[in-house]
Amino acid sequence: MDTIQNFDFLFAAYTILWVIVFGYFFFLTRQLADLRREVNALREERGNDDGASPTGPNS
Amino acid sequence: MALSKNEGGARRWIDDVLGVATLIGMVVALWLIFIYTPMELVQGAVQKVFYIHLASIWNAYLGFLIVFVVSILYLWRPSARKDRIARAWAEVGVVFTTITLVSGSIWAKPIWGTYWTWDARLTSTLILWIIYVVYLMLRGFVGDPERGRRYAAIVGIIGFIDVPIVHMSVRWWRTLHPDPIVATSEAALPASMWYTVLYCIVVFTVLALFLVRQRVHIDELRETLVDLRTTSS
Amino acid sequence: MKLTLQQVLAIVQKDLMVEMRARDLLVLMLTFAVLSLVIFYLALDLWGPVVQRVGPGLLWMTITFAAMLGMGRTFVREYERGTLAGLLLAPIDRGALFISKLLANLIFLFIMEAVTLPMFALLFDLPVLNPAVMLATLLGTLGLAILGTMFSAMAAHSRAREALLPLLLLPTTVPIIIGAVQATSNAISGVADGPPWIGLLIAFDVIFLTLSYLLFEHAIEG
Repeated sequence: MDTIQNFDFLFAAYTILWVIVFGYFFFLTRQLADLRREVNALREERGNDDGASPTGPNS
Repeated sequence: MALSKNEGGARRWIDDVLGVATLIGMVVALWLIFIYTPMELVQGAVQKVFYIHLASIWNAYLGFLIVFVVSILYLWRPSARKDRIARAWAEVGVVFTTITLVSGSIWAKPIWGTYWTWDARLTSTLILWIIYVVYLMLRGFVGDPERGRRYAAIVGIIGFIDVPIVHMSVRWWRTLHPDPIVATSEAALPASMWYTVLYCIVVFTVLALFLVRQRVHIDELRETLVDLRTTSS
Repeated sequence: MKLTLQQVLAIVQKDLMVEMRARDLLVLMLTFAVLSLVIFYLALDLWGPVVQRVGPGLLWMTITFAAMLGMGRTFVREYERGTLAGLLLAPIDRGALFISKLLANLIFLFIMEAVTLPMFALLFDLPVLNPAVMLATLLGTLGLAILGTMFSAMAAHSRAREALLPLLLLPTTVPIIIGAVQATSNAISGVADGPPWIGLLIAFDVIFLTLSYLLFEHAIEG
């Protein structure tokens, strides 16, 4: 029958699935990385004030 | 990593495991969908959209159910943590509702001959999507963070209770119009298809869990940042 | 119990008196409603059998939008005048406060409808002044007012003010809008069977009246 006919729709559906999932994932990772960098920078800045090193004796 | 001291090694470890599990699970899911399950004869290749479609809407409902429960808990005893969880699940739920709507539309084009029809399920899913998009926008509109969280919890509760009523009303409303041809979709599925559906639901749930955790981390870091800024100045 | 009832009545009376003096709310709603009916008629160029088919929908769009306009104002007005803070300081049960606000809103909406329905019947030449339509209007308006009171309290406290109300109210009241339109439509064309729309409206009203009564304290506080 016409099984081959709608392959392009199948392709489109999965492409969009990956675009949305990975798009959202990279959006989250980007934000996380930016925030981590900012928090680290601030900690370092403050760490110098109260003497605690950000790479302190933990874990 | 300098930050590991505050974020906790165990949590990063869980994230890594979830991430790897999702990735492997997805690859296996693709194998199951494209190679293991037989080609559906009536609908053809596009029937394979069904697996991700069902797994996505499952996740959306799961997410909104969690938003509902956590919102009740939040109003009972407010905490920033509960709000972060509710917000993260709502956002992931909206992402999966979007996937559901888009994959459904693409499936509908070759099968029903149109991308969109005001079928009962499509219509109520669209309204579901709108309700939770508004839920996500709400905190930004309100201004005061504490009040924003409280209002979001209220909408999280009202919205979820509303969903079955909306669905019921739309279904009755739809009976007045000619139904689209759904004949083939509900036919009995072979066992291999059912296994694949169930497997996809599990993998997508793991994916959702992974995404939710990332989303929660972001909110936590944002709050840490605010704390750091306010205490240092 | 008796005290609560007195409190409710006192607040309703206060709201009515404020409106009697200012009259801005009712004038706003009524003008808007009549204007919408005229604009809809002109924009859609309605005549013949089309009127009967789309009429109920237009009626309910008019009622819904006019209701949003009015209910959005009631809380913003209190908020701007600072009377809301006073109301919250008074030793009143939050549930009772919700009922008072709901009743006040309902009275305004019913007055608006008492003008809109005859206007609609006149302009669109449809027999909407019958008991079945009245019942649908009563139940539909109650549903709109319940969630409208709840959400307008929230909207008044937000930066977006009244602009937030439609975003919250329109998607959640879809069952009310569908149910009321269908019930009105059936009543006009004399259809007796079909889905139990009145039952749907009653169920919606009961569920959200209970829920809003319980949740209102969180919407109004601080």
